Amino acid sequence: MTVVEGWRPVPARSDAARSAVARDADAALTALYSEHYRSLVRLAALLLDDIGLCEEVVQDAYIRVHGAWGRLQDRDKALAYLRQTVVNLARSTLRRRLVALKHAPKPMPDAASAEEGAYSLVERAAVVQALRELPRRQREAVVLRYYADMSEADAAAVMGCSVGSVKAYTSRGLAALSGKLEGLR
Amino acid sequence: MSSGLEPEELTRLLRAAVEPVRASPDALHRIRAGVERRRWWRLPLMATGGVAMAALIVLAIVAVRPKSSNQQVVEPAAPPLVSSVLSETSRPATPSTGGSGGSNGGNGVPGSTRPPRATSSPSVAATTPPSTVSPSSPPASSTPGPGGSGAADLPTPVTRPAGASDVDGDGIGDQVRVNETTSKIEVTLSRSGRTTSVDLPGLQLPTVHAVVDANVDGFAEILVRTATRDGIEEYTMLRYAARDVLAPVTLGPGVRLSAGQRDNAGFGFGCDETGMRLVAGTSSTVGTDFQVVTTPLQLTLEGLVTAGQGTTTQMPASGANSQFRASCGVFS
Repeated sequence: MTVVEGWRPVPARSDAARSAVARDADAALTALYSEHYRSLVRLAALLLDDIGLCEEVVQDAYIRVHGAWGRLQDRDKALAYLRQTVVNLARSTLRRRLVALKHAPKPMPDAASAEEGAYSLVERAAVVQALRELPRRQREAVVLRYYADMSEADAAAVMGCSVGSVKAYTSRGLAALSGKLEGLR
Repeated sequence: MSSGLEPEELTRLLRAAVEPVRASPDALHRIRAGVERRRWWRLPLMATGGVAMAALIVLAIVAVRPKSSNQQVVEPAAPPLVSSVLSETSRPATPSTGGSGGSNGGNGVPGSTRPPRATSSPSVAATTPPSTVSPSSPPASSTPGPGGSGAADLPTPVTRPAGASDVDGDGIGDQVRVNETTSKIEVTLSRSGRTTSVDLPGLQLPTVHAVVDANVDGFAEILVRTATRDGIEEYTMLRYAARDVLAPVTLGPGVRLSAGQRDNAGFGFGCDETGMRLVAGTSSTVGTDFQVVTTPLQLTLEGLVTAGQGTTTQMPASGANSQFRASCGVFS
């Protein structure tokens, strides 16, 4: 896994300090959940192909961030770490297909209205199918740049590559998507 | 961008594609359950890890710990090199008295590595025949004993004082000869059968030498006359320094192994069962009484040095003449 800046080794703590960190992590977990959970699930949905798996990946990312909360030097980078963890877990899922049914029955996501849902599902199917046909790196670059609105530098940090590579992946991915989505425009 | 798909349009398409995706209502509950599960898993894992680490440390300690001492050969530290110390407790006060009067000197030089012999040693040495062999001191033993060599390489002498020509202290006389061609003193040691030699540059021929246990330590020293100038004979002393090693003795400050008389000054040295002494005499005018100073000597690590203050005796010229000679062993 790529390491996000701002992490440091775990220093020895007293029980009281550990309790304080745990309380802090619980509060931060709730705040991060309410602010970013849905967007992160949608991010995962563009990288993966199973909504259930997307949620599982994001939940796992939240659990990891909570466990590592004491080592997070810059708490403002918690979202960046969450995103990076989501991307890495999505990679792992795609590569190994190991994350499957870890927890009990996965609920279906809340559905939109029938009309809206039908339209969205058609469009989603087209763009997502086109996205899935891209190489993994290009798909990640396109999603991080154009869905998550991340800068090239941030995307490079999350992907663990150089800014130049992100530019190249994005350009190639965009060109490939243009051809595939020509009929929808 | 050259393609027809604008970034803004792609962003809109992507957001629209994932718009139907909703978070499950119990997602937070699942996350908290996962956190709790992880917390409970962590405790036994950490305990197991701690136990495994402790076991590894114990195994590492056992692996690197040195073997028990009974499986190792420990060499004892070698004591410093030899020096001979003459006992001064029974040194004669003056040569003229010839008795075994009290010592006028000190009790040995501090820092000397060889302990002085017991006070009874001279009498024991005087009454013990040279051929007597100490049952507890085999000739090959390297254990330094009282009055012995004191050096790691020196064996324990068989008798004190050493027997005739017994340089290596094994109770058997050794062959000592002067090689006039090479100006060397060569000694064939009976203990090892080897021949060792010492260079004496500037050796004046003909020469004489004596083999005598001058400091009564069980190893005979070799006194060699090296030169004769203006009626004064110069001598050098060689000693058994280590196994199969013969070495010249360094003369300390104020010590000169000379014998003879010139004008109103005379020099000499001597040795007996009590040790070695240096004699120096002066007279105000030729033929009158001499003031003779007799100084005890001791053989130490540093060489042959004086041991305490000398005793001064006034004696007539006729009597003093007998003091101004090398009276230590038999020169030949």
